[in-house]
Amino acid sequence: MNLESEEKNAADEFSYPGLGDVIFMKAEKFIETVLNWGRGWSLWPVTFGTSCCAIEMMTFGATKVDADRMGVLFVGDSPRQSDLILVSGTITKKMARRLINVYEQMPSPKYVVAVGACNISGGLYHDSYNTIAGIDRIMQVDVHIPGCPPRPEQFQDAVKVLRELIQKNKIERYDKRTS
Amino acid sequence: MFSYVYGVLSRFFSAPADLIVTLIVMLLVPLTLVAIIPVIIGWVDRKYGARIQSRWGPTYVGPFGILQNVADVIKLIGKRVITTNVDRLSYSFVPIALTAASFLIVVLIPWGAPGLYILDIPYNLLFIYVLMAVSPLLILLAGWSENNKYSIIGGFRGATQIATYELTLIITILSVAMLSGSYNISDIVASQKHLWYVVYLPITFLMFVVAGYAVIERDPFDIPEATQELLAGWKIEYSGLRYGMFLLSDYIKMFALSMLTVYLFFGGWNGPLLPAFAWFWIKTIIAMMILLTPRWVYPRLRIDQLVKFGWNWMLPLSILNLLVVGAVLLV
Amino acid sequence: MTSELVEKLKSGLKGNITVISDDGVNDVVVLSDKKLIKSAAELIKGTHDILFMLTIVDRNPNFELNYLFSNYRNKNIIILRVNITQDDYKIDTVSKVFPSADWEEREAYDLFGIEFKGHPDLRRILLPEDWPGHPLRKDFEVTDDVRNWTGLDLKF
Repeated sequence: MNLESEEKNAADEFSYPGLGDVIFMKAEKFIETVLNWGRGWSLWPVTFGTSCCAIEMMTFGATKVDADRMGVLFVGDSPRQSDLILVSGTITKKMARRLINVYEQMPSPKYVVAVGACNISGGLYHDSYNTIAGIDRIMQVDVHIPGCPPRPEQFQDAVKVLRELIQKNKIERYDKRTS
Repeated sequence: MFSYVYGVLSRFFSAPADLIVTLIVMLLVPLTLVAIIPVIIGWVDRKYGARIQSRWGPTYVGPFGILQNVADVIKLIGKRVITTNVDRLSYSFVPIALTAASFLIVVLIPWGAPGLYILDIPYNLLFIYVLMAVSPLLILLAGWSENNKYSIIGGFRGATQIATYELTLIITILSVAMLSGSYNISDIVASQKHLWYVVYLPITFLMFVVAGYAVIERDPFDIPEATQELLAGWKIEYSGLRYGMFLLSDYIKMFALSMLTVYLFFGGWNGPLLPAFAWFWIKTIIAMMILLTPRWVYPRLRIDQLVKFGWNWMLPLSILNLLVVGAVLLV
Repeated sequence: MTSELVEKLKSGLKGNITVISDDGVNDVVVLSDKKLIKSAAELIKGTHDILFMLTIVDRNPNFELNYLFSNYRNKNIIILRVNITQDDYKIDTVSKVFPSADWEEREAYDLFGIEFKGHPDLRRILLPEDWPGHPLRKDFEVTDDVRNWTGLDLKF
């Protein structure tokens, strides 16, 4: 008897979504797809260059490997108007706070690209007392670019990978530090 | 324009509905038109600048990257707005007011043929002055409301620059209005039927372009938002859709300036063989491509150089020009 | 050829000076009493203009401070060497006499933990303010605590 009533309750609780819910869900999905399409094709970077990788980052924006082709516009404006932070160069322990400060000023949705060996594992300075050995110790990184320093074409590839991740809606934030 | 649209639509709708439908159409069509134009101009600007720097510019989004700025606008719509310690009311008010003012300029200008107005008022050139005179106050308000050192410096610079060059702009437009005897753009165009005003007033034309450039804050006069000194100047705290509105209003002002140049100095829609509409758009596109060039070619001036040049040379020269035009008209 | 400056230091500091080299171009002298560093610097100020380097050698557990002075007129330099012992790592500042000593002393404080008494602004110059330890000392070890230190209040 008891078992039967429980089954009945379960049957009561379950219901198929109504037409209104379906339309709402579809519309939400559609809007999300459109927004993600726009986000993927329009990544304006903050150029956080601290050492040699920054030189390659400049080449990425310049004539030969043209970042503007993929919508990566080096506007050079404030973090408030940017979507992407290109952390290129060694991050020392003193710089870590400044990096986090810049990162927190960017409005979400925002993405992080860690450029070069120093930002992946510490690179040359992996055993140093004064560098952050890999910036994923302090923030969530979406794409890593290996190399010491990487070639400008690798930046291009990283942006392509990031765009595919965004457009497939695969970027999740476990980082509480979102604005 | 209104009566024409009303005439077409009143065949399909009965008495009270036709007026309402006409009003909605009259509101929506210009709004979409005015919103699409800066997106297209933005694409042209990016592509043209990229070719000057021997790059390719946007390539992948749509054919020839034509949807690049659509993607930018969609991203800016979906972007979150974060602020710290701003004055909420003026912070939210400025982008709306500034964009509305620059959209209204385009609404008041005829669109390339006699009688093709969105809104027809007899003194439309005078009203365009007023809309331009609003912007220094709004820029100062934006700079102050953001509560940031860069924004307040940018706000003061913007107000100084625009207040300096607006005077010159108004006086140069005044000498054109004196020559034609009217403040209506249609009349000014009609009086240029035989000879363009750029032949009569070459110095006025040059002053108009320089002052117009300074007023719409385009490179090389983008001192209020000088990227290397002030990051984004008075726009620094704006993000998301509000920043997008500033970008739209920039390009709309660019478009209005090239339209005004054609109307005031290059004979508007006058021309042989081709219809008026075609002549006007050919001239406007050529004017716009020429006006887009200095941004990618010339370096930025300093604020003191610009203001000194404005007060010491541009303003006396424009007043002298006005006096000369008046004397010629009297004799 | 002997140096005039070394003679002046000898007479001025009353036997607290040991001369290693006094050829007039590269003078090296050792100051035995660290309390006299300020008066030694004042004597050197007459002939030499700048303190261009301050080096520290860790002779565990003592420290050896080398003040390198030079001038704008010729190639002459003088090295003033002071030893400080492990009972207290403190010495008077010379930044009042030679303003360039300000940042040199801050660096020495930052990396070796030597305290300069009377310094106007003794903060760390290279490392973060709340960094634990002084990394260029010989007894400093790079442990996992040091490697993982970020100084951030991490929330994830």
